[in-house]
Amino acid sequence: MTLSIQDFTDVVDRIKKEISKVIVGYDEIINFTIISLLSGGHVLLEGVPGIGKTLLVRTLSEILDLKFSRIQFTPDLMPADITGTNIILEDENGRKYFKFQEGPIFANIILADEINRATPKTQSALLEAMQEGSVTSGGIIYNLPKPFFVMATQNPIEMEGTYPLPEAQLDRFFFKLILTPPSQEELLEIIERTTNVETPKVNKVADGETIEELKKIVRSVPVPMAVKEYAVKIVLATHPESAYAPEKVKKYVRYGASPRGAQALILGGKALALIEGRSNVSFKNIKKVAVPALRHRIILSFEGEAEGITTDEIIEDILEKVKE
Amino acid sequence: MNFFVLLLPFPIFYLYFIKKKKPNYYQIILQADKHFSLDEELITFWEYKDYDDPYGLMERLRRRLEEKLSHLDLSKAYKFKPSHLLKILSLIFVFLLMLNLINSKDMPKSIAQIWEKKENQERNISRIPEEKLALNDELSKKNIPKEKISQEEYDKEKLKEMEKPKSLEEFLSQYNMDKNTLKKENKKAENQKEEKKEASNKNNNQERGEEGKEQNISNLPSQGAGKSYAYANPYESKDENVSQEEKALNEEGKGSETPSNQERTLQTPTESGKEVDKNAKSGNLPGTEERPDKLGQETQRKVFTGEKIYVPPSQSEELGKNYLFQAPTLEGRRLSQDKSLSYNPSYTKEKAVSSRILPLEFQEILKTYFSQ
Repeated sequence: MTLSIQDFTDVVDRIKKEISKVIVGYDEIINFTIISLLSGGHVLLEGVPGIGKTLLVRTLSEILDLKFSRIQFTPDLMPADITGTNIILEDENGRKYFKFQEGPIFANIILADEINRATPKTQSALLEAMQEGSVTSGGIIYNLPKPFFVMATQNPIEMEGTYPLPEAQLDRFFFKLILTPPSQEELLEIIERTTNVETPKVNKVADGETIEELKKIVRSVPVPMAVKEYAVKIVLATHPESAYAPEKVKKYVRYGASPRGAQALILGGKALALIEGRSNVSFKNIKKVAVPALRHRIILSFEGEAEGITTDEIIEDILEKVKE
Repeated sequence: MNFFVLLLPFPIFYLYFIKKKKPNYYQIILQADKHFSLDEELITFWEYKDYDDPYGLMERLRRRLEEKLSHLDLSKAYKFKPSHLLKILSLIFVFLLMLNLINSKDMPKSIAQIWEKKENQERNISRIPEEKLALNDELSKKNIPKEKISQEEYDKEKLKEMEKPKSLEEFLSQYNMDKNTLKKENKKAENQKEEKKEASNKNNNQERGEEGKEQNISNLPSQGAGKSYAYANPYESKDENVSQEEKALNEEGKGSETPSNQERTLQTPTESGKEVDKNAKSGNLPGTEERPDKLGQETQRKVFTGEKIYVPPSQSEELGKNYLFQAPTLEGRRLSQDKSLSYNPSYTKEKAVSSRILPLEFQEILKTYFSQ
């Protein structure tokens, strides 16, 4: 199956249209979610309860004719509860044998709901799956189905009984998207859609194979050297010891973004360029994806935390200071 | 200074700067992308011109680019916009140009002056042979014998003249500053002190003799003390003092009764000028003789009353040399103490006339001379 650029644009437009049937507003969040999906990354959604995080993920799974799995993270959740475990079975002859029982992670779209409620050990169970797309159990590597797309949600205010995600885990997420409360018009629309007798239904737009093909198209988008250099400069500027680092970074940042940040910038830029109908990545694309791609990869210093500085402010300062 | 010289490096520097900073194709395309807001499509197309993609991305890119560029008006897009460097250089250029213009206003004057000087010099040079001839004619008229001497002989003569001690002695002989004179002056002062002491002793004795009389006067300053100023002057015109001093000087050996001693008692000119002693001896003293040509005719020459002044003998005088010396004179004469002896001290103001007229630099020369 070979798709053209036009097919890409059509599929994306249809996905957006179907999502917008259920989700009111959040155009940018939907856009970045699609970008992340087509770039082969995972998304961390952060927002207050009841804002539509889970609904967004479930809607996406319904649109894309893909296997969907939801994991509710709790403090007593064990890694095996996610990845799966070996169980003893008995055959016809009465002989016993081990069989790997796949966990909920063996799906195309995973909703890791309230991921920060699980212990770091359980959270780490996702590391291999998110990065390599495989799970190791009993010395055997089990490949996960493709596309594999994790959408984790976390509640920023419920700090009690939560475990902040470790840096390594955070780095696995392609984008971190923050959902803000809807506006008055959006809220009215939500009420209109969800309180009637008929609830909106979505159609399946694309299957796994189509998504994989779209991912290939995204990766084939050309990026000029100047734009690549610019992405590298931005990532380097997040490091306080870098020559590109502005004063704010030097003062408030403890650790900068990893190379995964640069990858996210370029891949996100590619996907965004295609979604915008262009065939190349521009400086604007890099700038646009910089905030969701880097905000969870920058670790603030104590001074930064104490002064209430956000990583978004740091990135915006970097984008302002670093020249193209 | 001609500032046009400074103008030259600026265009050279600017051309060099442009040449060095000349962008390559990549930079030009990148700038064009930014300038025309092509979203880096031009640079992407240039970089990926040989890129073979299965999805037709480059073809789509080319079409989009063609469409965008077809709407561009390059003549309008590339308006002349001077850079900062060009602006700065232009300002400097204009500034130097103005300096040149200001400077060039005075140039014709200075050129004219130079020409004038040159002409004068040439004129003077042309006159030299004529003047030389004229001088030769004058010399020939005067019949001045010409002697030809060699350079060595001339140098020797010069050296001899310089080595002659006579000139220095002659110079020094004009001033009465030899050691002996000074010594004698000191001795005189000592003698006078002794006299004062004796006088004071005498007074004391007289006071003791007149017991009870005028005892209250004893508290007053002694007469000797009151007269100390007068006694300090070794050239008091009192006859007795003069004779005593002469004796003291004669006792010193060299000062025997010679004509030179008589010469020392000289008459100074009177104020009226009638009694001016114009004999040859008095005229020998430097400063007292009449000037052959008077300087400062407008001021009347000051003539003093004939007052005998004492000129101490000196070693140099024996050699028949005269010294510039003018003894201090007293304005108004103090009454003799012996004639009107009174215990009431009386004071009269004395106005000293400047004694030695000797420039400081000569004094220094003399000091060094005598110290050697």
